Order: sequence, then C-alpha cells, then structure tokens
Amino acid sequence: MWIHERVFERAWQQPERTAILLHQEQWTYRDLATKAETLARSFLRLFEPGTRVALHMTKSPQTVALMLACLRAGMTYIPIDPRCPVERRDLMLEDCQAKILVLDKFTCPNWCAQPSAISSLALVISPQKIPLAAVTQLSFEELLATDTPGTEGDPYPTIMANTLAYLLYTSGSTGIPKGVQITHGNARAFVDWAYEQFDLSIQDRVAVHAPLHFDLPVFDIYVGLAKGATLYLVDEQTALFPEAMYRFLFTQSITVLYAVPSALTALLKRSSLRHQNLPALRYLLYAGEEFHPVALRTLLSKMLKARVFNLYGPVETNVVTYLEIQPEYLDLPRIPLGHPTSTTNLLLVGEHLQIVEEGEGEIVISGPGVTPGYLNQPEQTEATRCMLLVGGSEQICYRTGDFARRDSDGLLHFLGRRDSLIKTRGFRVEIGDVEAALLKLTGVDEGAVFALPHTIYTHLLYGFVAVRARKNASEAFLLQELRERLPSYMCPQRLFLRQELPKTSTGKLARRELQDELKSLLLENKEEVSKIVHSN
Amino acid sequence: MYTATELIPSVCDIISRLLPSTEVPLTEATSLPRLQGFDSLFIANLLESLETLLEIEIEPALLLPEAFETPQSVAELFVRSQNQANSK
Repeated sequence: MWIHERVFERAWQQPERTAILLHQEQWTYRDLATKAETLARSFLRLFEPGTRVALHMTKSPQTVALMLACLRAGMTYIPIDPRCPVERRDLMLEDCQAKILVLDKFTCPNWCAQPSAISSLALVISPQKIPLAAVTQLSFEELLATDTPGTEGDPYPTIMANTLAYLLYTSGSTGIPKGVQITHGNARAFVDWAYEQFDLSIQDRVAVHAPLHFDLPVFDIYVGLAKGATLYLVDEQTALFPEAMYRFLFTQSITVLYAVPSALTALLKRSSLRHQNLPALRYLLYAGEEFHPVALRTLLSKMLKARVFNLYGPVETNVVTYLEIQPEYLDLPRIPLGHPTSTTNLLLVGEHLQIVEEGEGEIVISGPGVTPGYLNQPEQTEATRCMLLVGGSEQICYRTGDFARRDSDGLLHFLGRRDSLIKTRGFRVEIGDVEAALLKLTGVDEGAVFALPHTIYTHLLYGFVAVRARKNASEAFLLQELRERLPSYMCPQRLFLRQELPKTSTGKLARRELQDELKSLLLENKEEVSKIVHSN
Repeated sequence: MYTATELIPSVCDIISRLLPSTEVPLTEATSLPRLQGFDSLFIANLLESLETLLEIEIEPALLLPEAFETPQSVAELFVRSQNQANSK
C-alpha cells in the first residue's frame, strides 16, 4: 500500500477521531480525507498527474491535506521553507518547474512585497491576490468549490513505485540547492519499516515538531496518521522557544516526539524540563545529527517511560539505521548508529569501493529507499552513485559520504565525513553553498567558510572574505546581504574582512592558515569559544 | 540594581553584534521576530550574552516568546529576574 493509501484507509475506519490539531483548529480523519480527496480531484480537473505543486506554507492542517491531495492525484509536492530568502525560494521554484503554488497567510505578504515571475506557474492558491500577471489565482475555498457534484467519480491515477511523491531541497555544494527526488517507492520503504517498528496506536499524540521541508515529518504524518494517532502540529514560535515547547509537550500529553538533538538539548537546558519531566512520552526519536552522550543521559532521566531511538539516514534515503538507546551506549564517546533497517541494504566500502565486512568504510546504501537522484543535476547525482554487487546482483548504490565502523556485533559506529558537508542544528549545509553565496556579495573577491564543531549545535559557521574592490565594506553590510540570500542557519556567525586571503605556494586558498587564524580570533572571546570543541 | 530603561542600550548593542544589520538602528520597540536571522541560535546567544554581562541566570519558566518580542521586553525579562533573585 502506498503511504497516502494507508492514511485514507485509516481515515475511513475511524472518521470521527481527531486527526490533526493546531491551536483551536481541529480536524477529524473525515475532514482530512474529504478535503484531501476534494483537492486531489480539483487538481486533476485542472492539471495532469505528475504536475509539481510548491507548498510555500507554514505547518497547518491545510498543508497536510494538500500533501495528501498531491499524492492522491499522482502529483509531486515541494515543501518550501516559509522563511526562505526570496532569491533562494525562486531558485527552487524555477528548478522544480512548479505549475501550482500554494501560499498561506504567513507567506502571502512576502509575495505581495516581492513578487517573482516564476516561468512555470499556472495557478496560485492564496488567501489574497498577489501581483502576478497571467497566472490564475484562487483561494483555498474557491479551489475546493471547483469540485462540483457529479464529478466525484473522477478516477485517481495509478501510482507506480517510480512516481515522484515529493521533492525536498537541501544545500548544494555549488551554491544551487539540490532537489532530492523521493518516489512513492522510496517513501513506502521508510514508512513500511517505521510502521512495523514502532507500535503507535490511536491513543498516541504525535508532535509534528520539525519543519515540513525536513524529512522528519514524513514519519510523524504518514506513520502517525496510518496508525490512527492524533497529530499535534507545533507552530514555529513554540518550536523556537524551549519553554514554550516544554509546556506544549506537557500540557498536550504528547506521547511521540521526533526531533533533532539541538532542539532536545535546548529543551533540557532552557526549559522547565530541567526540574520536571515528561511522564506521557512513550517514544523519543532523534535524527539529523549526533547526540552528545552526556546530554542524552540527562535527557533520558527526564523521560520516565519513553523508549529512545537514534535514527540515522540522509534525506536521499531517509532512515537507514536505528538504535534503541540502552544505558551501556551512554558510556561510549559517541552514540552508535545501530543496525540497518529491514528495507535497507547497507554496505561499508573502502577507498576503491571494495566491500569491507568488518572494520571501517564509507556507508553505501542500496534498496527501495534510495532516491533516483537530484532534480536537473545529473552530475551531482552521478557523483553520489556507484555500482556494487549486492546479494549476487549488481545494484546502483548511494554513497552517503559518511564513514562508519562495524564492530564484531554488527553494530555501526559513526566516524565522520569525507567531504565538506556539515550539520548545524540538524540542518545539512554544504560549505561550498555558503562560499558561493559569499562570492555573490557586492565587492567580495574571495570567500572561505569554516565549520567549527560545537557541543550543542554540532557545528557553527565562520567566514573570511576578501573585499579589495569594496570600500566602506563592513561585516554588518555583508551579513545583512547574505541573510537575504541564505536561510539563517547557513549564515556564518561572524564574517572577518580582509584585503586578501592567504594563499599556499600553489596559489590555492591557505585554508589551514585561515582556520588557525579563526581559532585565535575566537579564543580572544572566551564566551564565544567556550562550547566549541577544539580539534585538529 | 538596574531598570529596563537603563538596560535597553546594552540589549540593543548585543543584538546589533549578534545580528549585524545596516537597517534603521534598533530601538526599544523594534520587533525582534521580524529581524532576519531571528532563530533559536540567536535567542540562545542573546540570552547567554546578557546573562554573562549581568551575572544572572534566567529561570527557564520565563523564557517564552513574549519575552523576546522587542529589546524592551528582553530588558524587562532581566529586570524581573533581577527582582526575583533579590527577593529570595
């Protein structure tokens, strides 16, 4: 069964139970399924299956209904970060060639203030008209009203394993965001595993904490709803403030929470969880970055009956390993990744792609969960691929770039990465993406970005720029300009201005020299450096 | 002992350092959530900087969205904490 079919099947088994809550807004399973199917039929009356639908929206029941509608209609949804800077937002929309754009009250004003002529757009669904010529514009209600009686028998298209379900954009090393294509077959591989692995029930209250342009909510929404649980959408303000989040979790008696370690550590340090606990929580799942064992131990002491799982996997595959945290793992310097999920073929390979049975190697994945690649970026896709003999047949495998060690019990332990992709606050950032944005700033000739390990946020970014051509350049000017191009988590904490950047004897950027200089600069500020992990 | 009015310049200074911007100078009424870069890391850094400067630790129960609406509300948060600490 496809992931949306699980949800619709559940909806008609328990139509009167609450499916989604956001503040005072409450949708039953009937509300959700009816709206999603009406939207799907409306879309299909206007466009062909395969159409791409950009959802530039905050978390809401409508957004979830639209996601389900797209899947039902054989269309592909693309969740866009509601706070994404305009330039980056437009890059994504042009790249994915979305024909339908859906806005809400939060994102609509951005489009009114800074309209963009996206070449592919044919329909905008928005609470108010935006200044875009030659594009049909409807409100959400008007779109629902197009589903006139007598058309309810409209057949939905047949979904195949390779039908594109959704696109998730992630940082790209060349400065262009990469659209990771996730097919129905990919999504089903993860949801099928998670559905069997976690015994959620209709009694569960699942917090949808991560933003919808992340892959974490795929679990919350499709597994949570397929199990008949109630989804509690966490609004952006609540997610931003640990105390507000704690109160939300406590008062709503949340039983299932899936979040990144940075958010959970903040909860531990900056909320009443310091003195209290979360007695209702049954499952705490984390992914996206490593969890420091000391912080995790403290957190476990607050979860009276929760089972805690470390889930690992890039967006290109979703979760590929899992580990239920046991006390003995907390004494290790790093929490292990665990064992492969039932729908994953996981191999470790050496430098020449030889398979490593025991010992260290790069994590390589094959199986139904692996993305067909990045949209419009065949070279980037190719760079992450290799052919390996798996189970007697040659298979296309995805190279994660993550290195791990397999111990004698078969347990995988994370070692590090082979390239310049880093994590900060659970977000994935290509250093090259940030450097490319630096070079677009007015008057900047050269740029270099460094990620320093950090105990809470995994990494923090710092940059150097050469600004020979720009007189009166200041850090404030440049950072402000940068924040208009990149999401805040991709912007360096500090930007150090130089006349020029040091070079090696071969004329390359002297990165080691700059990194040493950065450490000296930060050491001058003891507060700033106190949580930075000093490494070579 | 300090008042909110006395604290506001320090709050604005720290915000300007954490989120350098060339926009209109910060005032006590500037909406912080509307600033580009207002995120969890900014909030944590702002708190840590002010806690270090004022040698006071804010009770987690006070760290709610309304306390971070403006430089004025941030200053009031610290004054409230100072008064609570002194009354103990």
